[in-house]
Amino acid sequence: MRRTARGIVAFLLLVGLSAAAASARCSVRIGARVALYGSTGDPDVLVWETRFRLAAYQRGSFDVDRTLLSHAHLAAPGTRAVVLRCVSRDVHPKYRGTVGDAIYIRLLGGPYRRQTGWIMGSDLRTMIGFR
Amino acid sequence: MNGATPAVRRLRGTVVITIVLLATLGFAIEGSFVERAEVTATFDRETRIQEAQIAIQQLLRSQTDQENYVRAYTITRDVFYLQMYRSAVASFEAKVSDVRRELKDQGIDPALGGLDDYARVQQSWRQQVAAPVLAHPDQAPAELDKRSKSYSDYETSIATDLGDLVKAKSRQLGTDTLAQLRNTILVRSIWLVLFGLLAVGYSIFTSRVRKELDEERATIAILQSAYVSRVVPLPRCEVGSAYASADRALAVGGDVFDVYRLTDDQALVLIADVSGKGVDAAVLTAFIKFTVRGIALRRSDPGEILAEFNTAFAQTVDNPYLFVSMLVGVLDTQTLVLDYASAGHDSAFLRRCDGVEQLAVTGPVLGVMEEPFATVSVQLLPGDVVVLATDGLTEARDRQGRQLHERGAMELIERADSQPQRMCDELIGRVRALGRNRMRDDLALLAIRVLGESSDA
Repeated sequence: MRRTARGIVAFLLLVGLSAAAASARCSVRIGARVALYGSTGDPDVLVWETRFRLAAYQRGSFDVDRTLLSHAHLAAPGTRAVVLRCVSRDVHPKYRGTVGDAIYIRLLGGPYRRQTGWIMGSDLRTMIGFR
Repeated sequence: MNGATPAVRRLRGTVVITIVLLATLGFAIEGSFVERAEVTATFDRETRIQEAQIAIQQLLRSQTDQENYVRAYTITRDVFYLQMYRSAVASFEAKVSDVRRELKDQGIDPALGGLDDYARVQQSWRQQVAAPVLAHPDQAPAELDKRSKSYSDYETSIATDLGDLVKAKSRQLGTDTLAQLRNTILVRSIWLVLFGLLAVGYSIFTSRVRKELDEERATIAILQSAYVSRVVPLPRCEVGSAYASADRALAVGGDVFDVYRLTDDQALVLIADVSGKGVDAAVLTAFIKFTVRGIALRRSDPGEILAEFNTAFAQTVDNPYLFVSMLVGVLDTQTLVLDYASAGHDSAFLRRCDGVEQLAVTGPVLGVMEEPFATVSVQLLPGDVVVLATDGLTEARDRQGRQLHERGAMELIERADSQPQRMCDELIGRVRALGRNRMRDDLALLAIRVLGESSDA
C-alpha cells in the first residue's frame, strides 16, 4: 500500500515536472485571461478538440485539413478564454520556419462558452492586467 | 657587337615597361568599371526581388479582398461586391503570373512549388467556399466558415513561406555581392599595387637610362673632340668642310672625312659613312681615319688602300650588320691629278666650269666581301671643285618625304658658291631648309677647289 502511494507520488511528481518543463518557455502563463485573434489573414480562430489534431492541421496538407475540420470550433475574434495548459514548441507549421506553442484553453464567451480546446500560441492576445 | 645597340635596347625596354604600365593601369581602371557594373546589377536584382516581395504581399491582400467581398455580399446582397470579387480574382491571377515570372528570373525555384500550391488552394477556395456561398448566401453553413478559415490559414502560411524564401534570396544576394565586391576590390588593389611598383620601376629605369645617356653623351663629346676632322691647307687648293648632326641623333654618327698630307705634294682625301650611330660608330670612325692614314703612308694606290682596309675591317669588326661606304683619294697638288677609289660611296661629285658630274663608284661597300677596288684618275683643272659628301646630302628629304637624290644634290652643288667653305655651309643650310630645320641624318661635307694660276696657294 505504501509502495503504491510512493509510486503515485513519483508519477505525479514526474507529470508535474514535465508539465512545468513543457510550460517553462511558453509565451503565456497558465491561468492567464486571453482574447482569441487569428494570426493569419482571417482573424477567426479554430479551436481544436485535441492537441494532436491541432498539430496535424498545422503540418498537414490541405486535404487532410478538410477531414479534420469537423473536430474544431470556429471562434470569433475577440472571444475570451483562460489558459489551462501550454505545451511549448509543440506545433510545427508546414510552411513556417518557426515552431509554435500549443495552448489549451477554456472559452469564456461566444456560442461555445465553457468548452475547452487547443489553439496555436500565436492565435491569442493576452489581456492587459491578466498576464 | 651584337645587332641591338644600347640605344635600341633602351628604347625596347622603355616601350615594354610603358606597355606593361599602361596595361596595368588599364586593368585597374577596367576593374573599377566592372565593380560599378556589378553593383548596378546587384541593385537591379535587389529591386526586382523587392518587387517580388511586394507582389507576394499584394497576393495576400487580394486573397483577403476576395474573402471580404464574399462576406460583404452575403451581408448586403449588393452586386457591387460581386463585381469587386471578380475583379479581385482577375487581379490575383495576374499577380500570380507576375510573381512566377520574377521567381523564375531570380532563380528562386524552390518558391515556385509554394506559389503553385497557393494558386491551387485559392482556386479550390473559390470553388469549395466562395461559389456555394455566393450561390446561396442565405444558406451558408457554419462548416463553410471553418473551411474558409482553413483555406485562409493555409494560404497565409504558404505566402509567409514564399516571403521568407524571397527574403533569404535577397540576403544571399547581398552576401554574394559583398563577397564578390571584396574579391574585386582585392584584385583591383593588387593591380594598383602592381601599377605602383611598376611605376617605381619605370622611374628607376628611366633614371638609369638618363644617366647612361648622360654618360654616353659625355663619352661621345670627348670622342668628338678627339676625333673631329680638321682640314689641313693644301698647295694650290682651297679646302672647306662642314659637319651637321641629325636632330634625333644622340651624338656623333658614323660620318667621317679627312684630309691628310702624305708628302709635300700628295694629300690623302677621305670620306666615309659607317652604318649605325653612337659610341660604336664614333669609335669606328676613328679606326677608319687612322687605319687609312696608316695604310696610305705605305700604299699610294687608293684601290689598294681600300682593299687592305677592307681586310683589316673584316678582321677587326665582327658585326655582320656593320659596313662602311668610303671614298679614298690621293691628290697630287703638282699635277692636279686625283686618283680615287670608291667603295659604294656615291655621294661624291666634281664641279667643273661646264657642270657637275658624279664620281663613279669603283667597288662594293666595305665589310661585305673581299673584292678588288678599281682606281680612277681624274685630271683636275683650276676652278674645279671636288665635293665629297655623305648620304645625308643625297638622302635629304623635304617635309613631304621626297628625297633629294643625286640629281638634286648636283643641282644644289652647281648653284652653290664656288668658295669651298661657303659652299659647304650653303649646302648644309639648304638641306636644313629642305626639312624645315630638321635633319634626318648626319651630313659631312668636304670640298676642295683647285686654284687658278693667279690664285694664292
